[in-house]
Amino acid sequence: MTKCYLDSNILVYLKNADSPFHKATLSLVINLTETGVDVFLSPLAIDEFLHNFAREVKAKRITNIFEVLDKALEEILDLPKLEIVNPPIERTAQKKVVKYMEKYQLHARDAYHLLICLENNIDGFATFDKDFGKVFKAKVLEKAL
Amino acid sequence: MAVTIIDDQTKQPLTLLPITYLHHNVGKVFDDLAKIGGYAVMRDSEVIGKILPVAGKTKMLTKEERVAKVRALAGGFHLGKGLSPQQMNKEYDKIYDKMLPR
Repeated sequence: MTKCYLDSNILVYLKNADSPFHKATLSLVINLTETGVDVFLSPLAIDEFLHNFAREVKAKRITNIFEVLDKALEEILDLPKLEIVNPPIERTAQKKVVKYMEKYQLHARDAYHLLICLENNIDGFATFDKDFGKVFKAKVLEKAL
Repeated sequence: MAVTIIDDQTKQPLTLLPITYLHHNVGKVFDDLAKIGGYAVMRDSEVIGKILPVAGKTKMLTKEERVAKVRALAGGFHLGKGLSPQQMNKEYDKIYDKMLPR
């Protein structure tokens, strides 16, 4: 694996030190860093991160929610060797999403994550989401956990 | 111990780097570039190119510095146990209640 896409759950668990998944996530990101793997995010993953992180911030009754989100996102974007990638804009590429949904039994948003990876030649995927099981089993992407 | 040659232009030592090693370890090669200072890429026992760090503009972090940065950037928020991956998925799915069938 030379490139690894970070799913939004990785971002949430990396920033929330109280999460039972924080330690494993930190180990994963350190391992990727040590082995020279480039890490990637998409606006779709950031959107999901902001949605769920905001939910956790609200649950703690923290009032300055936008300051918290801004700081958390800033620190994520500061991670070494991190790049932002986008989905392709070609008409034909959009239709691949439906094929991925059917072939790998993915939700639309997860199929879009897969499309972003494949269209940007990203070979690894870091997630705790078991919905990507068929993708990993078919060796379309390498699981980074 | 790494074998070096002296670069004709910069007069700095360059570490010899077989192209097959570069092919299989490109990430590590560039990770170590700042520390090594430069490589002379070799194919069939001949030097065919050089890899040098960008001078001055940006300091390339070493592997150790990058790991320290990850540790510094991780955490920072204490928001309780939070959601499991499955619960998080359900949260997203609420937005997609009317999505296509799986």
